[in-house]
Parts: sequence; C-alpha cells; structure tokens
Amino acid sequence: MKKIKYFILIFAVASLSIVSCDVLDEEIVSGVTSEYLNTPDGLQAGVNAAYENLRNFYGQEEGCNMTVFGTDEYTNGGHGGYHYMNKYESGLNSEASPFWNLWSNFYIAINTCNAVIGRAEEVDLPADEKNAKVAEVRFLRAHYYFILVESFGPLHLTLEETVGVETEADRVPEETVYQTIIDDLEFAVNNLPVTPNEFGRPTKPAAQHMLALVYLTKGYKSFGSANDFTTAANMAKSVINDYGLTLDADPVARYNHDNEQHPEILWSVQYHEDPLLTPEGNETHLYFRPWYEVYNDGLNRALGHGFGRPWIRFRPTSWLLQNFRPYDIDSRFVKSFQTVWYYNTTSGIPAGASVGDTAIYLTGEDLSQSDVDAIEARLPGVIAGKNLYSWHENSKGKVWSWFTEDGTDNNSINIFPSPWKIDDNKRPSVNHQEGSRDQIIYSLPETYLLAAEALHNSDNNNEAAQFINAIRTRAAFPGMESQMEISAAEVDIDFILDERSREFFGEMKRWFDLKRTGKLLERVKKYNYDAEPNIQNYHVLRPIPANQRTRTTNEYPQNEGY
Amino acid sequence: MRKLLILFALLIACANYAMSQRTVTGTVTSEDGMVMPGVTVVVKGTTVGTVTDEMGRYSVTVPEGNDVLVYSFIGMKPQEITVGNQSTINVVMLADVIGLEEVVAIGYGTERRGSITGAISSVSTQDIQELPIIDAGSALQGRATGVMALASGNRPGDGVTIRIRGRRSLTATNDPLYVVDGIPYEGNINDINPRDIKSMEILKDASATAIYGSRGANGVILITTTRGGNIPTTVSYNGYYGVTSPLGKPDLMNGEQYTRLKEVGGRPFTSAEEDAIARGISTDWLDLVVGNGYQQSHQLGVRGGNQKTAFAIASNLFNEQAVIETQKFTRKTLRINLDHSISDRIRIGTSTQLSEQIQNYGSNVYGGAVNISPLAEPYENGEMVYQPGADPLLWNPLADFVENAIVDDRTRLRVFSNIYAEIDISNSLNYRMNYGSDYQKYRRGLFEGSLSSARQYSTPRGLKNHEENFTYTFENILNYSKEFNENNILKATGLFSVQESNFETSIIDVEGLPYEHQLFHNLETAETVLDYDSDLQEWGIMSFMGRVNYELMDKYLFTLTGRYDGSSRLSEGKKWGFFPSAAFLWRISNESFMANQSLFSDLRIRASYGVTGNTGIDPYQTRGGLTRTIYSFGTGSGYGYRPGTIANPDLKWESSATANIGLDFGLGENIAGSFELYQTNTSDLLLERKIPITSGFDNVMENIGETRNRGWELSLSGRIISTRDFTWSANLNLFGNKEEIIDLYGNKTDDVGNEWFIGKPLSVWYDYDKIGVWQLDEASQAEVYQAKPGEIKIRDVVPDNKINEEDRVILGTNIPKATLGFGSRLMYKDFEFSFLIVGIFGQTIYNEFEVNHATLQGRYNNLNVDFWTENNPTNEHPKPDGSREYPLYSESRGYGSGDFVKVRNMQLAYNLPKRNLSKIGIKSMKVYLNADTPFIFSGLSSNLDPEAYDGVIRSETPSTRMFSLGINVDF
Repeated sequence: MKKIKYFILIFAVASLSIVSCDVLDEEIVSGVTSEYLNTPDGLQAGVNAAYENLRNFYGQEEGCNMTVFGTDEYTNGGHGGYHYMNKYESGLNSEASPFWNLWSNFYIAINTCNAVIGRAEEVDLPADEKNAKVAEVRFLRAHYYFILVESFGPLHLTLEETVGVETEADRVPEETVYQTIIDDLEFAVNNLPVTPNEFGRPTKPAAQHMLALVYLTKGYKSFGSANDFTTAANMAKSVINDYGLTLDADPVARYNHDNEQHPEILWSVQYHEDPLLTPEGNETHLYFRPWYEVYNDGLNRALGHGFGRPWIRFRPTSWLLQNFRPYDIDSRFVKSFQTVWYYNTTSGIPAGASVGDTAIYLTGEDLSQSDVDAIEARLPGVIAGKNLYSWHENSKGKVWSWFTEDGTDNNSINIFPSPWKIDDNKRPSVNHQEGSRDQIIYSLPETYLLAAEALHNSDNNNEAAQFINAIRTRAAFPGMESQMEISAAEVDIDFILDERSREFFGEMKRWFDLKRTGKLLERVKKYNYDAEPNIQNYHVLRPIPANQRTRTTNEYPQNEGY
Repeated sequence: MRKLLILFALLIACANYAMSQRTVTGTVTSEDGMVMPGVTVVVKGTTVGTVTDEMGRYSVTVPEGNDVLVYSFIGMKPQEITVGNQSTINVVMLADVIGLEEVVAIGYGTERRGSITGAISSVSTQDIQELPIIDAGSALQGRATGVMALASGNRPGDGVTIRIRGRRSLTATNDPLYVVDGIPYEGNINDINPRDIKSMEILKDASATAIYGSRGANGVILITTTRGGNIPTTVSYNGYYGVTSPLGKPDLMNGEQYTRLKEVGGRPFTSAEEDAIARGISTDWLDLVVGNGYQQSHQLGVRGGNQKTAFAIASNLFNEQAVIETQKFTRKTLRINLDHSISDRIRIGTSTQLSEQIQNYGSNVYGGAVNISPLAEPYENGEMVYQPGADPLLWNPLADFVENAIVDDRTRLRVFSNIYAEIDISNSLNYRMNYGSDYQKYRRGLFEGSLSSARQYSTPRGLKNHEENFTYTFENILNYSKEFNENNILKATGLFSVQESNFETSIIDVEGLPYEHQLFHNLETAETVLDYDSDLQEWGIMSFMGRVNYELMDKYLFTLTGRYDGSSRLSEGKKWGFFPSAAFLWRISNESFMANQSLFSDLRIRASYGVTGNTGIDPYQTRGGLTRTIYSFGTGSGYGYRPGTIANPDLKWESSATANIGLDFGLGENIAGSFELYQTNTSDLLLERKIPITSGFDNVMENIGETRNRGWELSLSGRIISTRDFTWSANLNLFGNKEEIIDLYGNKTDDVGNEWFIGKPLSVWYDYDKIGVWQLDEASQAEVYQAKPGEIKIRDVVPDNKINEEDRVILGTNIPKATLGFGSRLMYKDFEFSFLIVGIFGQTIYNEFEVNHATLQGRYNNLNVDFWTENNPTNEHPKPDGSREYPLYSESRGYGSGDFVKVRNMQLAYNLPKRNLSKIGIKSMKVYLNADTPFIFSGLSSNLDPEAYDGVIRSETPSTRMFSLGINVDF
C-alpha cells in the first residue's frame, strides 16, 4: 500500500504540473507591434523615426566620400581606404560601400515615410495637426529621393508602405521622381509651420528653400524648362523676403558650436552631446583634420580648440585655398581655416620653445628665403619642409613648398589647413568619434546663392549680382566691402560656383553642385589632380549597388559605364 | 481511487507470480572498482536476461534446467559463470576490445550496442578523461565519426564549435542539441566538467534523433555523468599541471625591414622614427606580450553506496592562464549524483551540478603587438611610453598588462539539477518522471582605464551586463518491455514533456568614471551614459513522443518513433509539427547461412529513414514589429519607431529528412567496425532571405529552399596485439560530408548577394581571383584595368576589360571534405602510451591574419612577406604604397588550403604496482606525462594553426601546445 501512495502522490504532482496549453502562447512583453503606428502617439514616433537615417549619411565618412571627394575642393589625404572615391578608380564600382550605405539607409527611411503617410489616414487627430506631421515626413521623403535621384539617376519609386515581401524593383525616369519630390515639397510648403515646434524639424521656409533647389536642378535637365529657374528664383526670394530673416554680419556665425540654432540655419541634421541620443555622431571632425600631431615634437593629440583626433581623409585642393584670395579683403579664409598649431606639451618640446608657441606654420604667403630664415629664427622648432609650408604658387620647387601637383614631393598629403567648421570640442574625450555638431543642410546664405543662380539662368544677372553681393560684402574685412562687390557682367556660373565654395566648402554639397551645373568633369579635371586622369562622362551617375541588382528577381539595370 | 488500487493489486499479483522461480542477484563492477550499469546478464541458451541498473545491480530469474549466466559489456570480455546454488553473484568485468554488448544511451532509455537500429557514436570515459581539456566538446575531436569539433577561439574557455554531419541550415542554428542526464542543456556546454562525464553518445541519423523531434535535426549529444553504486567507498584525486607555449610565431618585420618597407612605399618618416633608425632600434613586440601560460585541474571525488543508496560527489577546480598573461579561465564545479531505492519498485535520485566559471577575457594585446612599429620602444628611462613610435593611435600593448588597466570578467553561475522518480508498475511497465531545472546567471563586467589601449588617455569606461536564464523541463515517461517468447521481444516508450524558458538581460555602459579603482561598480558616478538596455524573451515547447522496438527471432529489429512538438515561437495554426522515423536492423551473422563462415564474427545491416526539425528561430520572429529609432531635436530627444521586420505568420519548422544505411561488422575477435552512408535533405529552410532594400527591408525570414548533405563514415577499432604483458589497440575514424544547396527560392537561381550558390556548400569564399602581380612588361595591359605594375592582378573572369563584381568566383569552402581521427594505445606491463591524431582535408581558409598584417602601407608593422619592387618581380604581394590603408584587392591574397594534420595528444603513463600501494591504503595510482598538440603539419607558414571552425585565421591569442604532468589516485 505504501508504494501505491507514493505512486499516487507522484502522479498527482505530475498531473498538476501538466500545465495547460499556455506554454505555447507567445506574448510580446518587451517589444511593440506594428499597430502602434496607427495611434496618435505612434504617429509621432513614426515621424521621429523618419529622421534617423539622415544620420547614416550626413556627417559620416561614407556620405562625405560621395559629396566631398572627387570634386574641385577636396582630394584625398594620406589615410583612409576610400581614395578610389576621390580618384574615380576601379574601386568606385557597384560594390563600393558608400553607395550601398546611401542606397540602403535612404530606402529604409523612405519606407518609414511611406508608412507614416499611409497610416496617418487612420489616426484619430485633427486634420491640421495631422497634416503638419505628414508635411514633415513628406519633406523628408522628398529630401531622400532628391539625394538618391541626383546620385543614381532613374530609380525605384515607391510611395506606399511595403506589406509582405517585395522582390522586384524598377527604374522610373528621373522626371517622374522629380514630380514626386515637387508634390511632396508643395504639400510641405503648404502645411509646415513657419517656426518649428522643435529645432531640427523642417519649416515652411526650409521647404521653400529645398523646392527652390529642386526647381533649379530641374531647370538644367532635359525635361526641365526656363520656367523652372523662374519658379526657383521666386521660391528663394520668398524665403529671403517673407519671414524677416536676415544675414548675420559675421559670415561664419552659423558654425558656432555653442549657437547651433542660429537664425541663418533653415534646416540641419541634428546631433546631440548625449551619447544615448547620438549612437552615430557627426564624425566630420575626424576626416578634415590633418595629422598635425606628428609634424612636430611637443605637440600631442589633444581635445581643445584647434586640436582633436585626425583621420586625414579630406585634403583641400590648392584651388580651394587659392579661391579665397585676396586673404586680406575676403575675411572668410582667415575665419574658416586653421593654419597654425601650437605646442601643447613640454614633453619633447624643441629647445627654446614653450607651450603655446607656434609648432606648425602653414601659409599662403609668397615666402622668400629670408622670410623663411626669419620665421625659423623667430619660431623654435619650426623648420621649412618639416612643419613650415606655403601653398603660394611661387613656392613650387622650394623646400617649403606645400604643392604636390608636380609629383616630386608629398608635403601636403598629411598636413593642410583644417576647417574650423568641423572642430568639435564638446566630445567627452579626444578619441571619442561621435561628435555633436549639427550638420547644416540648408541655410539662408545658400538661399541667396540659389536665387542668384536661378536668376543668372533666367538671364537676370543684375538681380543675381545683388544677391551675390549681399553675401560678399558681409564677408569683407571692415572697410573692404566695395572691393568685394561684383558687377552683373562678372556673374557667370563659374563665379557662382566659386562663391558657393567660399561659403559652403566641405559641407557635403559640392559634388551635387558641380553635377547640377554640368561642371563636374571640367572642374575636377582642372583642379583635382588626383581625379583628373580617371574621371569619365559616365561618372555623373553613381553605380547602382550590386546588392540591389543581385537581390531583385527581375533585372535591375546598371548605369552605363559600370 | 478504489479502481486504481484494485488495478495495482492485480499488477503486483502478476509480478509475484512471475517471480516464483530461482532468482540470482548481484553487482557488476569493473576492474578499477567502478560500478557498471548496463551490463547485460543473460541466461545462457535463452533470451532471458537483464541489464544492470544505475548502481551496477542486477536481478535475473534463472529458468529450470539452465545454470549458466553470461555477463557482457562492450569493451569487456564476456564472462560465463555457473550459478550452482549461489543466490548472489558479484562479477568483476575485464577489459576487452571487441564487444557488441555495450549498453549505450539512446535518448529516453538505453540499448545494447548490438540492437541499435540507428547511427550512434560513443565516446568512452577513458577517451574523455585522458585529455587535458576544458570542455566536453573538445573530447569529441577525432573520437567520433561525423562529428567535426573545431576551435571557436584560442582564449581559455572559448571551447569548440561542433557540427554533426555538416550543416543543414543557412540562417537557423546548426548547433546540436545537448542532453545531460536526460535533460536538454541549453547554451554553453563548457559549464560541464569533462571529468564528471562517464560517456557521450552522438545521435546522428533520424532513427536516433527523431525522438527529439523539432530539435533533432542537427544531431543530439547525450552526456551521461558518473554515478555511484554498490561498491566500497572510493576517494579519488585526479590532477595535472601543464605549461603552455604558442604553437608558432609569425615572421614580422624587424626595424631594418620595416624601414625599407616605408622607403619603398614612400611613407614619410617622423623625426622619432629617423632617430630610432639611427640608433638601430628593432623591438620584438610579440616577445614582450607572449610568454608561457599554464593549465591545472584538480578533482576530488567520493563514490560509493550500498544496496539501496548510491552516491557520487565530485568537486573540481580548473584554472588556465593563456600565453597572454591577462587572459584566464577558472571554473569550479560541484556535482552530486544520488540514487536511492525506496522499495524494490520505486527509485528516486538526482543529478545536480553547480558550476561557477570566470573568463578573464583581457584585451587583444596580440593584435596590438603585431601592429606596432618595430622602430618604437616600450620604455623610456624605465617609464612606460604609452604612445611609442610614429603613430599616436598605436598604443603600447604593454599598458594593458598593468593591473586593472583593462578588466573584462565574464562570470557564469549555473545550477543544473534534475530529480527523478521511477516506479516499476509491473515487470514490463515502468513509469519515470524527470524534473530538471537549469538556472544560469551571467555577468560581464568591463572596465577600461584611462591608460589602457581601449581608452588612450580618455576617461575610464565601465560596463555591466547581467543575464539570467531559467529553464525547466518536466517529463513523464512510460517504458514497456515484454518478451513474449524468445522470438518476439517488444519494447515501447511513451513521453509527455514540457519545457519553458525565461531569459532576461540588462546592460549599462558608461564613461567618465571619476576614479579608476571603482572598476565597473558604482556606475552612477559616471559623467556619461553610453547605453542602457533590458530585455525579456520567453518560449515554451510541449511534446508527445512514442517509440516502439520489436525484435523478431534475434535477427530482425524494427524501430518506429514519432514525436509531436508544439512551439510557442510559431504562430497559431503552425505551432505543431510531427516528426516520424522508422528503422530496420538485420543481424546477418545470426542467419543460418552464416553459421559456416568464420570471417565475420558479427555482421549487421541497418537502414533508417525519418524526419527531424529545427526550431531555429528566435521568439517573436513570426510577429513582425517595430524598431526603435534614435534622433534628437535641438536639446531634446527624438525617439521613434519604424517598421523593422516583416511579419511572417506562416513560419514553421525547418525539416530534415535523413536516410541512413549502416553496416556493422566484426572481423574475427580483434577487429570491429562500422560503415555508414547517409543523405539528409533539409527543406522549408528558415532562411533569412536578403531582399531588395528598395522595399525598405533588408531581409525576411521565410521557409524556403532546400539543402542536402551526403556523407560516409568509417570507424574501425582493433586489437592489434593482445598478450598478457603487452596490448596494442587502435581506433580509426574517417568521414566525409558534402553539403549542397539544392534550391533557394524555388527557381534554382543563385543568391549572389548572400553568396549562396546552387550546388555549392552552404558557405563559400566568393571573391576576386588573384593571379599575380602586374609586372613591368605588362604595363600596357595593366592600364586597361586602370592598374599599374606592382598592383595585384585579378583574373578578368568575364572578359570585358573591367574588374567588377561579375569577376568574382568561388574560391573554395570553409567546410572540410574529409576528417580523420586516429587514436592508439599501447600497454606494456604497468606502462601505457597513447596518442591521438586528427586531420582536416579539403577546406579553404581565409587568412585574415596575413591580409590584415601585410597591408604594406608602412603605418603598422608588417609580416615579412615577399613584396613586389621594380627589382623583385614577385607575384606574391604587391608593391608597398604608403598612401593606401591596404592594397587594392587586398583580400584576394588571403585564400589557401586549410588542410592540416595534428598530433592532438600524446601520453605516457605509469601505473604503480597495486600490491605495493595496497599496503599504504591506496587502491591505484597512475602518473603520466602528457603532450597536447606536440606537432602540427599544415600549409601555413611559421607553424601557425589553421584550425578555426569558420575557416578564418585571426590575429588573436595564438593557439598553444602544452606539456603536463598528472596523477590519478584512488584511496
């Protein structure tokens, strides 16, 4: 009997433990399901999500490779693995990661935009509130498509959220993509507020600015018309005139890291000092900085004004530096570039030098031997050909020459003027990569130059000159304003491009500017000696990433030449 | 209730009736006093018999007119004992080589080797315990056919990755299911102390694995731990201590060679470098960071018991320091195995294991030391220089050796405990209940000090990660066994089981800690939070299983199994899956026509077919969901959610259908072997299919596609010499497996994006084919490809005068075609010598080490390779170029044969004479010298080790050889 009791006991325990079928029920506790997007809170979350992929492109090396490299402004420095992007070498092919990075992230963003726009119809919110949110997202979708279509030409256009598995994709003509972009932007212009609820969200003037840029670009296209330039000019003028926006007296005030909400800024991609909000930071502070730390002793990598971590990716072409001349009339060179580095450690410091003295001296001056002797005597440790260089034309062949174009020296590949606009001293430590600078996308000075370019293309150089001069005179050193002014006769597309460079060099616009104006090949061949031998006509379009072509079940054609 | 009582009364009455004959009981032990469960005891001339229980005990009823009992066990000599008028017969089994009667675990039961219808390999106690290994997986290397066990990494505690009969799944897991003392064991098996293991069985074909249903597709490894028995109490100590050293040292450039590299590459010298060259500096950084390591293991165990109770208690301390001083692994385990008979019919017991391990992961100073310039010096005036040499990013690797500069401690506490109760309801019906609980707690604490290579003067960083995992398994098993007559034997097993798991994680990652001695504690003092996160994952499985074995006329055996599994991970309507199998065994040697031949002492043919599944997917994967996004607006946050994954409610099990034919043979008394042929077709692959990202999604999980594995396995064991003083035995395992992707998306087209190709193995190296270096006289041809002499020359596969993605080709696969294991043991009087050789053939490896350290840029130190110059027209490596991070098509240099043969182990042992030992109270004592990986033969230069489970050679901690001294004592 005893045994049976045990048996019954065990069987009872066993039966109790045979829990019901809820073992097999799956309940999502820590995640959130897709239906959330249909709620008012979810809609806001979806709107926010539509921004994230901007950070995969703007302020990143791969994005800069597509916009900074291979232009008249910048060539490659000594470090980095993407020189082919600058040189238009064979590595610039369908498998090059910068193209896939842009393509994949922006199409993810587009699907997010499509989801928000589509689901908004179901969301229970007042129409105007809802439209303002949809307008934000349509602005973003227009931006994503604009960057894509300018890079890749005809491409896959989708305006609906993907439901289920899609394995096919098509290429629609650029014209169709442009029409979508314009539709989105017009909706944005009509529904966005003039001042944003939160900084970093697009506004009506930002949407108008972008629409001006889109029409301007379209004007050059085969499917564009002269009207497009007129529309672009009017749009830009509306931004300039209708909202009480004014240019700052200081041409570089908008780059102040402590004042990232400067009124000149129409729209910028947001980065934050809190690492939780910036898993991918603005990394441009790494890429444009030369390898200063190895050019003299007594000079350490450090955090602080004029120091930072150097990745030596983007080196200014000689043209970029010469384009600011005369340096004593146009203040922008002096205000934009760091050309001198100071000793910051006593360890190993050259005899006679102290911390704070000049350690590296780069200049555009026309130095004579006696000038050089005087500098060397005045600055202990500064030696011509070692850390004293001039990029003046006349220095060619001299020991202090910074030039490389004759191929006989290599002085500039790792040491060159560093732009202040990328400096980031708010990082917690010197090697911290994730910078917090916002990346300015659209700003009021650009609106002026867009207006000028549109007017020039509408044969209205008089008015164009006014907008250009507004930018130029405020950039003059005090008393030099009249020398900065140009006449209507001097306005041509090259001058506008030169002027754009003086304002926006290195700001991830240049490749698109050159392409838009049809000047990419001409100016790259003229000013970028590393890219000159290789660039071909077909390079005005980027290769469709191989991943796209191999994953579609139908044929996705490659661009010509690749 | 009343009915139940009556039923039981009847059952007991039946049992009593059956016992009205002469009964013999006893205990079977081995030569060294260990109890021997699973020994077959048969009444000679009949099929009446039994198998010894967990404590080595048996009880057999001897029919009238029979008087001889036969005791048999694989690896042991069968013994015949005349019963006479004894009622208790205790037997000591003696070692033998060839045997068929070994009892092996088969999942939810045991079976005699000779009656097994499926493909099962066994690894014995001796083979497991002889090697100085950390984890159970390593013991399988070279010991079992069909099992590929290759190093996951070389840090102590990294273990091996195991694949049984190749890989089947492209995106779901290919890891086998581990079952320890009957309970599924999730996750890392290096928690198990290999010295507690009695045997391991590897279930390979569907007949063997189908009883594990949805989790059987990748094979099942059954681990049985040592138990006590009705034996005198034995206290044992086993320990060893060994010294490790790197297998090889890569040939890096010295100061002079490095200077030349920079000159050729046109890389400018800094003033510090010029100074170092002038002073003739050439630092060998590897010598500074790599030294000798050690490994030790100490195990103290007590085993014993009586008729009613058996126990085995063991504790073990394992400790290893790598050849890089900052990398360590320590594990403490405690095991308690108890069995107790409450009555003749009711038994209870437990297997309980407590393990605590800590892996001091350290930093990769090896990679740092390989990179840093030989022109740099580690110290100046006795002080450490943190940024030696020209490049400020090249931190002094010795900085990480300073105590608490970098702390990366990964600890795991695990309690794996199961209890069972077993009732013999009748002589032929047995009920068993298992309840197993598995609690795991993992903690990673990371601290990177300001002066470590990870921080390089930045503020200290701390990270703490906690994971907790609780899984329970509850099983109810009915076993039925009935011999109707000597020609008809029926066995049946039924199972109901439930398993549920709960997994929680949390992590916090900060930087800007105010003081360094706080390490990864008190993290709220940090200035900046880099990350925090927590998560929950739950899943459950419910199963019904049945198995029927039928043996006819001692010649024909049939096994039918079926398992019906339900999983929480799949959506409604798809939750349940059925996994059947059937197998047949024909004992040819028992046929009358075989009676007159003497070649085969044993000959069996097996055939099986069945279907098993692969759970594969993570919880919640059928549901689709949103991905959290991060952005900011002005000074505020801007978190959001976007569509992240495509929901696929149609997901179901991935299923593998396996056909297996096996031939087991014995040639005379001294040779036994098996040969297997199999084919596994896996369909409805759980495939993370890459889709055009223009849809907004990168991939989707689908049940699509099919793979096939075909292979053969040969195992031979033989006793070459067997005399009283000298025996020599050997085991050979040789097997080959061929993976093939049959289809992906239903249209037999390749998926180039994923590098999946129809007709090719599951992973291939798909890259540009380097055919040399452009030479000076080829300048004009090179120019067509925008290349210059001195650059890598790539085969233009699609001849269009362009090198683009279409010119990539399949260069090989990282999965071996054939695997060899050869072990041998020689015993002369009290001396023993044994060795184990393993070999891998037909795989292509990617030598990332060479690619990453022959960048020829002159920024980092370089392997001393043969590079191209105008005066050295080599085709090996291109011309150095100081302006490039790495040469164009750099990776094309990395592919090559990964074939190797390793002497995995050699051991010389001496057993001290027992007669002398017994005088001082010692039962037995053995001392040994062991050499782990004394020799390796491969195509890699500098004696580097090509063994890596994924075929990628990395610049991490090098693999090692070890010489150790050990002792085993039983009191």
